[in-house]
Amino acid sequence: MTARGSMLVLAGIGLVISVYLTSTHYADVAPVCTGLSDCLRVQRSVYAEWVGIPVALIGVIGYAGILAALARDGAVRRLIVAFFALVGAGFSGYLTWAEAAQIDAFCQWCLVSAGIMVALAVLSSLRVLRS
Amino acid sequence: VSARRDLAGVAALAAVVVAGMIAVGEATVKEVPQAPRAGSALAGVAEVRAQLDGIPQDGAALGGPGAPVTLVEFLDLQCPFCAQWDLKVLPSVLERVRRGRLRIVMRPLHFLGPDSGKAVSVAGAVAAQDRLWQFVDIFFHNQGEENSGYVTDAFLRRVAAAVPGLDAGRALAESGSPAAQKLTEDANEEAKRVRLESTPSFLAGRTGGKLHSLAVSYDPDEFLAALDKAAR
Repeated sequence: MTARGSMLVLAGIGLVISVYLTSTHYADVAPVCTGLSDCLRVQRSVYAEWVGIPVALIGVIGYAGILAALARDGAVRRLIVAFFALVGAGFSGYLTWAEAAQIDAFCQWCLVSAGIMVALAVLSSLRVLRS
Repeated sequence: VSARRDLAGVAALAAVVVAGMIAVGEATVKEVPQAPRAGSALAGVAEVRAQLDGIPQDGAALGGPGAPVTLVEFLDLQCPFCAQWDLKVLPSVLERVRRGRLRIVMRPLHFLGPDSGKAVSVAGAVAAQDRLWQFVDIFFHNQGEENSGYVTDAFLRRVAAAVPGLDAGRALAESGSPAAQKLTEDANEEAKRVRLESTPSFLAGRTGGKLHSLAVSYDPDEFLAALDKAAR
């Protein structure tokens, strides 16, 4: 699979996760969670929103932006994908720190999404360098 | 070279955006009340001990049964205004309780959400050990944001463990019992009967007589003056 194909799959999975977490946020119901994590605690923490916007919704916007930019190939589009993915990876890193250091709980969906963003950042950066 | 320069530019721009988002996010988070984290000290423990030591308690009632005036307080453990009243006004009110002139009966409600239910269940079990007022007072000193998930078993256990003479383990274990639930069931029933719409709310009057609704004030002198008026 090409780097672009891999990124399309990863961003698609990320988008599904973000849409799911956005829906549970607005419905105020607990996301499906493993016994090892505490998704409800994370969802109800002060870090679940950024300036009143659910962080899951920011994820939806980020993944949608990446998918839109990946729809066609081109030098500028490659830079746009890299920009979205780097911002996403950085912000996900901050949220993962908040889970560990401030909330004392993890949500497996957030961790998977953070991992996807890091992978997208690496792949998109390599794609720019190889162009 | 050009690709590297482009990527460096994009990475720098992304770093600026992320730094801005984190700065704004942290500024917003700091404005929200936070319950203490595991391992950090609870606030208000010494003050609460000093305020309540030596005052008799019987279930939800604080003060001797022979006090001429009764004050009923409806509250929700998650309610920030209840905590505000507790911290600002209660100390002055307690002076009267200590002198035997007033008895306060707490009516803790399950009003604001699931975390309130969890907290009030433990409060019910704590009341059975006649330590309700210390538990609620320490809870209020360490209150977090409504329904943010801070009301965990661990948090409730820490608050209970800070109350002298209270068996915290027993209180947690008994929190689901019908006896523990009765405290809030009775409170909810009375709140419905008096058509209470918000917390904190108060009823006051001569002990054994008709109780009247009392306006909420966060000024101790103003609240005591209204209490005097209701007790005439």
